[in-house]
Amino acid sequence: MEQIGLWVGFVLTLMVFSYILGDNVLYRLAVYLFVGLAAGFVTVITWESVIWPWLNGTALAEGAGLPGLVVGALPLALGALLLLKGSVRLGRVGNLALAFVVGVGTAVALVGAVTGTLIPLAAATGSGVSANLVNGGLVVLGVVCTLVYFQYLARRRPGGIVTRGPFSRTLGFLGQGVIVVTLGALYAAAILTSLTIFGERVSFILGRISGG
Amino acid sequence: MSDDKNTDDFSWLRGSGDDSQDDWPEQDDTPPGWDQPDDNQPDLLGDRLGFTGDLAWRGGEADAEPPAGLASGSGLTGQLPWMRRYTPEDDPNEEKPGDDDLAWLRGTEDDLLAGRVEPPAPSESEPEAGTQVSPRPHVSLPSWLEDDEDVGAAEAFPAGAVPDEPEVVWEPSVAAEPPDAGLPDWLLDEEEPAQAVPPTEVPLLDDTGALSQEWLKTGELLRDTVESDITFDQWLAQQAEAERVPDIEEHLPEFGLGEAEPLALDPAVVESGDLPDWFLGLDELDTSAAPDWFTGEARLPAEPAPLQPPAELESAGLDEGFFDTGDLPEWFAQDAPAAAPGWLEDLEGASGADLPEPDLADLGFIDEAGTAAPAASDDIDSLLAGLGAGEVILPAGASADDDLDFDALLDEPDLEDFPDLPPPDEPRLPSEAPDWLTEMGATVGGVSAAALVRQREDRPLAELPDRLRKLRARGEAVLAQQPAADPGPLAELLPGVEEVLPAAPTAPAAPSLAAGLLLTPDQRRRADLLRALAGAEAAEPEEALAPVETGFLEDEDDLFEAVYEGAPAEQAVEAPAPAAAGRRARLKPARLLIALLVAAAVILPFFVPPLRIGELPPAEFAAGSGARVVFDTLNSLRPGDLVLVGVEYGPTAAGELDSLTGVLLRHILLRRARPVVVGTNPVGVLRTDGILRDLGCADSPFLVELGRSTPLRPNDDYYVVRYLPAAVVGLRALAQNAAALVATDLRGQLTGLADVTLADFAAVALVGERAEDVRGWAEQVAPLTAAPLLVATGFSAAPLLEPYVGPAFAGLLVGFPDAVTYASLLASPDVRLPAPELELTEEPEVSAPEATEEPTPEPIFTPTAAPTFTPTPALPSAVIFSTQSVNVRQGPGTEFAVITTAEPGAEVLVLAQSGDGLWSQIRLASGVEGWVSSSLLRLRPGEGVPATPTPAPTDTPAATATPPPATNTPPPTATAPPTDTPAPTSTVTPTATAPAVVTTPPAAATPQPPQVTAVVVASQGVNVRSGPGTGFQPIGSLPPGAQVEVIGRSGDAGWIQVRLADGREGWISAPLLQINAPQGSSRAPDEIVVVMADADIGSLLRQDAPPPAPAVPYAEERWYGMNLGLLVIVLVILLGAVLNTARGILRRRR
Repeated sequence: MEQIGLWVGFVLTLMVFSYILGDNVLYRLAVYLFVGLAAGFVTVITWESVIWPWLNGTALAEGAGLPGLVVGALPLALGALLLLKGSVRLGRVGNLALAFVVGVGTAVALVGAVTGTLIPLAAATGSGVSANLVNGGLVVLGVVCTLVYFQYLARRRPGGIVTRGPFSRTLGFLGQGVIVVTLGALYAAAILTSLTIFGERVSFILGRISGG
Repeated sequence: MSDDKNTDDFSWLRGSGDDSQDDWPEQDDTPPGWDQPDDNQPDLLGDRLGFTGDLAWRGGEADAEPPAGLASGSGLTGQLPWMRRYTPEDDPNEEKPGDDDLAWLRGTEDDLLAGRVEPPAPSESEPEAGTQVSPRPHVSLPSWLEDDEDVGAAEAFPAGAVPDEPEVVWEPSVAAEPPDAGLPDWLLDEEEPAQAVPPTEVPLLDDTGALSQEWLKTGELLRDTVESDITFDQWLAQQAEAERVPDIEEHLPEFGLGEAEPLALDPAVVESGDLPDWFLGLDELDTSAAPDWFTGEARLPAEPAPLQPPAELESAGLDEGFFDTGDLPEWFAQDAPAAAPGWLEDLEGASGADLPEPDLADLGFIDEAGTAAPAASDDIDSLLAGLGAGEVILPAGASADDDLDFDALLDEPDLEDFPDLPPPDEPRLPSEAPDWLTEMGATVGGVSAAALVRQREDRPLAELPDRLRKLRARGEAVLAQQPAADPGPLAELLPGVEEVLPAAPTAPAAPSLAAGLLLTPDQRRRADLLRALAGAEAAEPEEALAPVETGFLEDEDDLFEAVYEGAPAEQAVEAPAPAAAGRRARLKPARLLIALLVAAAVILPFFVPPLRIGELPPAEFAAGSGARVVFDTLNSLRPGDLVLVGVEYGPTAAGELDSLTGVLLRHILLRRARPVVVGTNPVGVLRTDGILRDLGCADSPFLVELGRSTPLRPNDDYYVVRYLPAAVVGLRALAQNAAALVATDLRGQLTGLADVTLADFAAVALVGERAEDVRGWAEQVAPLTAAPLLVATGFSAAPLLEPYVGPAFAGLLVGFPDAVTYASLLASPDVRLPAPELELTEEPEVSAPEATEEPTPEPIFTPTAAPTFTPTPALPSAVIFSTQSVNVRQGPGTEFAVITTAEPGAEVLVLAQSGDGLWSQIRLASGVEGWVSSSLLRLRPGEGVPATPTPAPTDTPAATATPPPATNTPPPTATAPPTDTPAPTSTVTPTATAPAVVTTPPAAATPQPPQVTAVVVASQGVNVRSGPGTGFQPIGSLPPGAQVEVIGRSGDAGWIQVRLADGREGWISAPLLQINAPQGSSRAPDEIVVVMADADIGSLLRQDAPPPAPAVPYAEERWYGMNLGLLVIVLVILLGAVLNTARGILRRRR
């Protein structure tokens, strides 16, 4: 069975590689298979590991009674309401569930962003300056310049031209350079990732061919 | 032309040659002077018809005398107030205030109207001889000015467009210049049709209602713009000259003068310059129908009826009330100047009687014959027609006593009276008229936009670059391919519009871009939408609205190449084909070449060693780096620790992150810890489950590394719990209530971790693809646990996660190189914790021995010789207990550099030990000091007792073991004594402290320790294996009751090493043997049998088992492929930048 799976993976890899010749049926077939299988697996896993255990532990548990039934069925009810968003007429009914999901998610993300990113990074930036003045200073300068670059408040000059002050413009220009360097680094990193993945696929194909 | 506003605006009749269409004099609304009331003049107001009509004294009275103010013989010149200052000697061209522009109307001199006609001197603005000028635009020309032989004029005004006028044939009385030597077209006597004018017989529309190709092609005959010798500006000037029409003519009724005598002009009069320029060219006109006054033959009546001013005006003088507009005609009252004109001052005090009487006869208004006037009619034409007969016929209902509404005569003719004339608001030309003709009419009185456009000079076809020329040819081909029956989108949207607005010719008569444009998919979509909204029929509206694939036209180069090569011409025609067939795969050679080049750069290093450029990743991480922190953190795990492993990547990143996941899991398992795998990506969790199954399966080489014979058990050795839904919310729930989430695994089975909290995890290892996922862990999980968060990610997310190293992450692994380095570190023996107790699994086999003929190295335990050196009594001595050379390092750790190596069995002095006891400082015989792993040393028995070269024969611990020769043959199925050792005899020397094994280099004399034997007590035959475990291959078997020599045992005493009769050595499970104490020995067998070190067992396992699969397969080849591929990509990018820069420079220069 494992060998069959490996050979199927080998064939699907070649089908995906056929995209080098342009969009074609083989490539689309491979993509559709992947998307379908992933969606199916997620559905099954969600049912097996999330929904069914939840129901077993709440609504369908022995002696759960009405409270257990309500607690167990409430998420399902909200999920069913969320499915109504696909309907034009009944879409507004799903706003309740959507609001709940969005609100909770936003609150959790916001708290995490403050405590897990803003405060630690700010502290790290300050500590970095103390640890290494040059590097830390460059980091602080880059951060400040980047933030200034995204500042869009300006003043209208007598000639009718709206522009920022020279100091802001200078810092913004430096921040723009920092952003350019960052984007260039991200692009280079994306190329490296692609090469890594391609090399892995090549090694897989060669391994299949060589029987390894 | 005179621009003097104060003069009568009849200078247009003179017609200077330098007139331009923009030089129209402003309409001077000041009434002509001869209409000014003059007390001294006979009543010329109201009754006077002016030169356009009959004079009052001409009204039906043949014997009427001219008014007193009009002196006979002097004509009107100098007789009428507006003529007073004119003298024949005056230069008619001299612009003077009050100058009489009607000098040509003096008439008294026959020479004025007779004589030779000198055509005006050719000017730049006039067409050259032999050239053909386009006909005049449509205007209401007096019929006597028309030449019936002027084909151009006739064609310009098709039948029915203008009222029929009596044909006037003008014949020049004198020889003249060539007919077309500067004369306007409408005066030319052209016998041949102008080629510039499209023949009317060419139909405008074809059978389908579209513009006929024939008619379109006639545009090519326009010599003016294609093959003319003159420039466009010149032609335009000619047209302007030809179009120049006096505005007053449009208001004047045509002169239906009927037959007229040929005009005879006096050369003297012509030379006098009194005649208008345009008039001088009339020598060729057929003046037979010209009025007599025009030809000069008309004579005023001898006794014109005196003008009787209205009674109410008899006493009117040039007083202040002169300009009282109370009794004046409307046409005069409306435009009465606010102040008296200057010339009127000269008339102060004058009375009408002082004014000379006009000699109407000289003017030719009155025929001497005084023939009877024709019957009166209401239209002015009839009135004017009567002038030619010598009489002025008043309109019906009009009499001399009636006030003639002169204003009405000057008004625009009632269009109802001219039913054949098109209403002024409607196009005067029918729809069949070509556009150039219609547009030319718009230039009257101003500069039209069409004229401005025509003023542009189109580039000749020969001057076009090849690119445009081919483009034009392609456009023509596209047009030719279009079906003739296609009415066009405009007709579909607005039916009937083409009849009102004739379509512009699309035939590329002039050098221009192709008329057939290639619509983009967006434009075509919009056009189809308009068509659908308009309800126009569409062949396939749904498909027409679908986007058309034009992927090959993404950039201008492709577009140009496509048009150049001609392929898209057909494709453009076929573009409306439905796109439901789907996108067509288009092969781009350049991109395909680059893709193949990069693929070859990545693949070739797998096969071609010379292409393996660059260096492999380092074997160790740099000290203090984030990767080193990860390794050290996991290396400090203790057996049984729980490690939370987060998996946040999918199949797309599996190629890059699977290697990192594998090495992390290996390390955790080698440390005997238990990974608990969770994740918000179910596919990633499934992938990790598969990796663990591969590592822990029964035939996995990793089990050998682990020292296990049984596969890894889920929910025991590792846990793959369910995936966490809701992303960050799930992570938050895990951090706050881990027990509830890790209680069940991916398949819903219980994991047995119901009581686990986040604090129970020794470390948190995360493998993430995206920065957002990793950030979620750093924000939701890390703050709620004291365990270090170790992250492994790919190249793409690494730059974004670097800032988190330190505040949130303890360590960071990035990409494939770190995975390779990590895998090399896993090979270090420091990583592995002591293996668990070997299972004593009895596998009695009666089968014949399946000994392999593999030459195996010497097992560990062999009799030793006396030590070669005498260690310092104060320091304990030890021997190198290893099968291979051992590195002696600078410090207690593998990160320290290697100083030298120690041979197996070499005696060393132990100077010190590290705090954890893992490393020992030794001194070699050469005096070199360094550190070696404690597991590779065996202390000599005794306290400070140096090892004696020759052990005591009896209780002298001389248990030695010689390392096997340095051969690479694994399974020690057949034991053979090392070549450098003497008689291999087993020695069993227990010590009082611990059963340690001391290895000494082989010596010449080998003591003979007491022999320990064992008897097989199993009921069946037992296997003799190559190593202390059921995973080892059996090399033979022993029947029940067989006696063998015991030479060693494992650390847990589960396996006994024996020597068979044939000399081979193997292992038998301890419960299957009965060890007999040596004769004369009081020690227990278990105290005698030499215990093998765990490292030796591990070496035996490695020798016996197949080599384990590398943690990262094809690591080197992939690394070299990445290097070469990166190099090729950089070169391609640089080359592309250089080419684009060069192309931009060349384009600017061009």
